[in-house]
Amino acid sequence: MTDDVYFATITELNDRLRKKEFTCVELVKGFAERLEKIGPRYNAVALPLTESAVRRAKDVDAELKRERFRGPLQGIPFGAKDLLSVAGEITSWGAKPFASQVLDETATVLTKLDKTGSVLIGKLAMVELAGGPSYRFPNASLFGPGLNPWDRSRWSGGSSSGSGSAVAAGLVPFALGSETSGSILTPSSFCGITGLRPTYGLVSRHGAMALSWTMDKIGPMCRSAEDCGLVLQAISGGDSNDPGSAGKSFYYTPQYARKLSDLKAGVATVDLEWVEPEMRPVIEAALETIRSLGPKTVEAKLPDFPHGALAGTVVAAEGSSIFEQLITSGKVNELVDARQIEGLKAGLDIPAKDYLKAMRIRSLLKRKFRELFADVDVIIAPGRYGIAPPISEPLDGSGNRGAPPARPSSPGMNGLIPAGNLAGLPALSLPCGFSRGMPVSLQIVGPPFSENTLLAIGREFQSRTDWHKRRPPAPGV
Amino acid sequence: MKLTRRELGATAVATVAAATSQAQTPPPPDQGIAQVVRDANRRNAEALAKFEIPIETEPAFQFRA
Repeated sequence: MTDDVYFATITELNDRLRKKEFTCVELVKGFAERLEKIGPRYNAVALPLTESAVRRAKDVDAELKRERFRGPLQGIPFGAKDLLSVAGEITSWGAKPFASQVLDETATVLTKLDKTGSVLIGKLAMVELAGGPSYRFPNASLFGPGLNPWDRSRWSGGSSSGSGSAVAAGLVPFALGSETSGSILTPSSFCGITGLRPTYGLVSRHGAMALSWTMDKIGPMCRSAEDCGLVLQAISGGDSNDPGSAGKSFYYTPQYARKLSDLKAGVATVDLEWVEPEMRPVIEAALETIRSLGPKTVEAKLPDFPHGALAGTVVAAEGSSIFEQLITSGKVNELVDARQIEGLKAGLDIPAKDYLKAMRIRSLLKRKFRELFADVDVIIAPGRYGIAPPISEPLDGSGNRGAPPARPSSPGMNGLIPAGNLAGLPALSLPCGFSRGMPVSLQIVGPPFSENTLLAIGREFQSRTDWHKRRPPAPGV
Repeated sequence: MKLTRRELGATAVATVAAATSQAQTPPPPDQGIAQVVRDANRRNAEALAKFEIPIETEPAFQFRA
């Protein structure tokens, strides 16, 4: 198996399987061995599932031999964030108190992927308890800090750390991650892969660890926008087992996408002042490429709300309620990150009036976004305003030496990640260049259930650029 | 509603995404972490308290019977 296989897209791999260039067993064994051998270099692996994967791959090969074709995901290996349960296997949620937890049910998204013929080859590492309500250091995980394949001294991002680094390093063709407030977009951006945060309720969370009932989403992390569309189609759909389910399905239909020249994209010029200076030309060039695809860009303003305070209050109140038993039993102290431990404890003391106020303000935020999306079709902003930080640095900025840089007068789209999550909006993270050797991305955010529009822009962008095809340095094993 | 830089910083620290590159106010190094977290929650509550909500606004969740 050559490197081009390990960095191929879902469509390319499926095409080669059907042409019998290799069998599903060979493909699964190749990826699984790579995941087991190279994955630990990035602290990316929670649990290899090679044996069951090879058994499943034999079934797929039998189907392919009978020419029973299920679709583009058939025979494609993948990994899943370790907050998704597989019946009978350990599901640790990235946290020591749950290190030997075995659950009875398999997550709905994994059952759905199994029906497409794709093959789960392993569980991927994550920040403990998906990082809720907040954490201070990249090493906040049972598996150690997620290491970035582009530079192992830097963080892979969180909380879907292993999903980000495993896709970037060619250890899986795609992975599932989850996002409460940035956990798909951040590792996708830092690792240079394409990640999609679906609309709240579009993908069932049954069988997934809950951190925030009103904000959790599960989504694909892939090599291309096209791949994200194919995976989202497979995992979306109503589920009576998920009280937050929107009862809607998603069909990836790029052929019916609106003409990009008919679209209006909102941007905030001041964002260029917010990004690290070295990133500015990269973001400027990426926005120019977007304009060349057809969408008209206009100045837009993020609805003016205390997004961080809202997300912080909602996630802390809901997360601490979910983990109340962990907290009151004292087992919470087994977590790695001191800030996270104290955050969970303090979350139990958030008054109902503050939580309800946050939830009422969310209603106003949703309304303001509806008004904004009457003017623009999508919002485009830098995915992150800086590159992946060193793993030794605290994430709250307290490790920065020297005077803080001068801040622009307007927040621009800073706050779009918590704002978009609070409003349940879909977002696509697109690799758009490099700064200091590390990946840089754009995020494209749209109104609820506008995934096809986001993916159409992403697909066109990736037909004109090759940032998503770049590979990190080969790992020395 | 206008946010001051201080408020913007405090809110960014509180988000679960560990907003590494956004406006932030570093916690004072001489305070215990528990106090830092309680202070962050208090600042969050203060930021929300300043927000005027029309009386008819319902919270953003639904109970379905």
